[in-house]
Amino acid sequence: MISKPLFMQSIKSNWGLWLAASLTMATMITIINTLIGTQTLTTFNIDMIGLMEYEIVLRVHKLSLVGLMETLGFNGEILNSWLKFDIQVMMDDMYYTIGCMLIPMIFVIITANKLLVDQVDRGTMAYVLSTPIKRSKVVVTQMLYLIVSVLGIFAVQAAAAIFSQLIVMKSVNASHILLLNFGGAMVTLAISGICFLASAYFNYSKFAYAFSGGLCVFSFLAKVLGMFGNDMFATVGLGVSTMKIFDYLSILTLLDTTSIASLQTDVPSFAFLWKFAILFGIAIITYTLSIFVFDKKDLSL
Amino acid sequence: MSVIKVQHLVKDYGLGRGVFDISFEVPKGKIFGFVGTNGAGKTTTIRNIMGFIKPDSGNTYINGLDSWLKSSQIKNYVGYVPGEIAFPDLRTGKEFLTLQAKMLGLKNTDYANFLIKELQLNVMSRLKTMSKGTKQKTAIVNALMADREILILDEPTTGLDPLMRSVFVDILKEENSRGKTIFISSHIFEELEPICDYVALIKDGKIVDIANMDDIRNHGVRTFKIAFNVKLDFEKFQKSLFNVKDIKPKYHQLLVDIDINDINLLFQTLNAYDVKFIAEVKYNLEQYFDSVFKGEAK
Repeated sequence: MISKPLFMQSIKSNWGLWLAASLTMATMITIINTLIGTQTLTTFNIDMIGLMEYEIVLRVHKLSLVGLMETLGFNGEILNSWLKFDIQVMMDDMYYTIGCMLIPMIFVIITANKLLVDQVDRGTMAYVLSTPIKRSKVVVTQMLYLIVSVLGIFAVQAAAAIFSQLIVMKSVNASHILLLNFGGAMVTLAISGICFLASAYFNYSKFAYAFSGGLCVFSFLAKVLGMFGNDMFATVGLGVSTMKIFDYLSILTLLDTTSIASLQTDVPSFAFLWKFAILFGIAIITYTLSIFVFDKKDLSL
Repeated sequence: MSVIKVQHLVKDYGLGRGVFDISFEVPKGKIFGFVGTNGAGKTTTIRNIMGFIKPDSGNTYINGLDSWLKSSQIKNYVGYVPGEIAFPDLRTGKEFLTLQAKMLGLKNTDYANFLIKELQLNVMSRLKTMSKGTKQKTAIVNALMADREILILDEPTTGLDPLMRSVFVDILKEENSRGKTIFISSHIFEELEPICDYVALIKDGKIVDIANMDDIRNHGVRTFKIAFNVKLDFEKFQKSLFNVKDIKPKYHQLLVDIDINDINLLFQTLNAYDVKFIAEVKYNLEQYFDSVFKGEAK
């Protein structure tokens, strides 16, 4: 199914970037865990008894805390939001759907294009294809390298996350970390499938780079803009809930960190599973298409 | 038997570029030259033969296998030098050749080493900083080392200095004497002339003619350039029964086409003239194709 020498060559010419990406991700998560690991982040320091006292006093005067908040210009729901707010979930969301994703995306754009379209554009593919190796075998080999390297990056990050949390906090929720990293890997695999398809389809690197780069930049920016539609931001007036629409435009949203976090609570939601299924579907379809597209196209070698 | 066969091949890139209904066959064990200007369609033809691109219509075959449909199978018979030389992201020529040997399934590298020595190739030099000639040598070793029965070479001598060019030509002759079929493209007539059995001329995507080099080498008619010291002789000779052309009165110079059997007659006749000099104008490929073009013009 694959060509071993070609696979080894792909490792040889891409290991530097892979290592850089993996180490950067590992360093980032380690720093985050070290900085905030020892702090209690699960709730704000809300004094529930004091709050109740204010509530009682206000009620005597036919007033309420909600009314007070609205008078101050906040959304009346703000108290409920604060009470429900879990900053750990927020951190996970920020990190796994935005913060850490830029690096694997850049890795995927460069690597996917180097594996096919660059070699066609520069003409080096001529040497591979002047041997009796089938084109389909070439694609499958390059594809396997891309998939394995993406999984590898997140494996390194997961290991760093587990290890650093263990050292800093003396305890670790490994399954939660593994699930988040698995999710990150799934998102990246779907993106890599799209980039790989572009790499198989285009004859010029510049077009493939423009397409895959554009897609990733758009997804990233849309996710950032979508953050301003986050309920928490919206209720404190830092965002507008209609900005949420950007969330639905970004493939990064398919990593449902809220749903994954809910597994830790009494009311687990499994919504993240069907979102994984969509990501998996995108990856399968794009990678399969890549094989056919590359097999049938004209190569100016 | 033809080992390479091109049948009514059409690949239209628009704006008059591509190849349009070309057909030819390369017999086993022969050296077939493919000559044409840049953009005439040489590389397009070769890409079709190699199965890299799909014909719009028509077919190409290698050993009877359709190039496009059996593109990986045909590579078992073919060694290839691409027209554009760009190497993969590897450090040295040696790394590259080792990788290729693995992909070709080559166990024995004796022949590769022989070629490296013959071409004086420094395999330890870095791919990125290699000179054009060194790159070309590396590509040539890569194409020949698997000892395939057919060689397809797209302008293989670009970048080689005259010395290496002749070494390369010797290697090709040697390969050919071991029964290999060679398909070689070039935009230079002189390069193909001494080694080829056939030379096809391609122009604007069409094959103008295929010359059999034996016919050209044993061309029955010889041409001599004769200059006379005296105008009188010059004019008198023109009235003789010889087939005179290209008259240059300023230099008292002219060309004579003469059958190879009548050469003695010419010299006997010239005895009576005051000849400044006489020289044979060699009949070559270029003249042949010139005459083909002129024939077309009429």
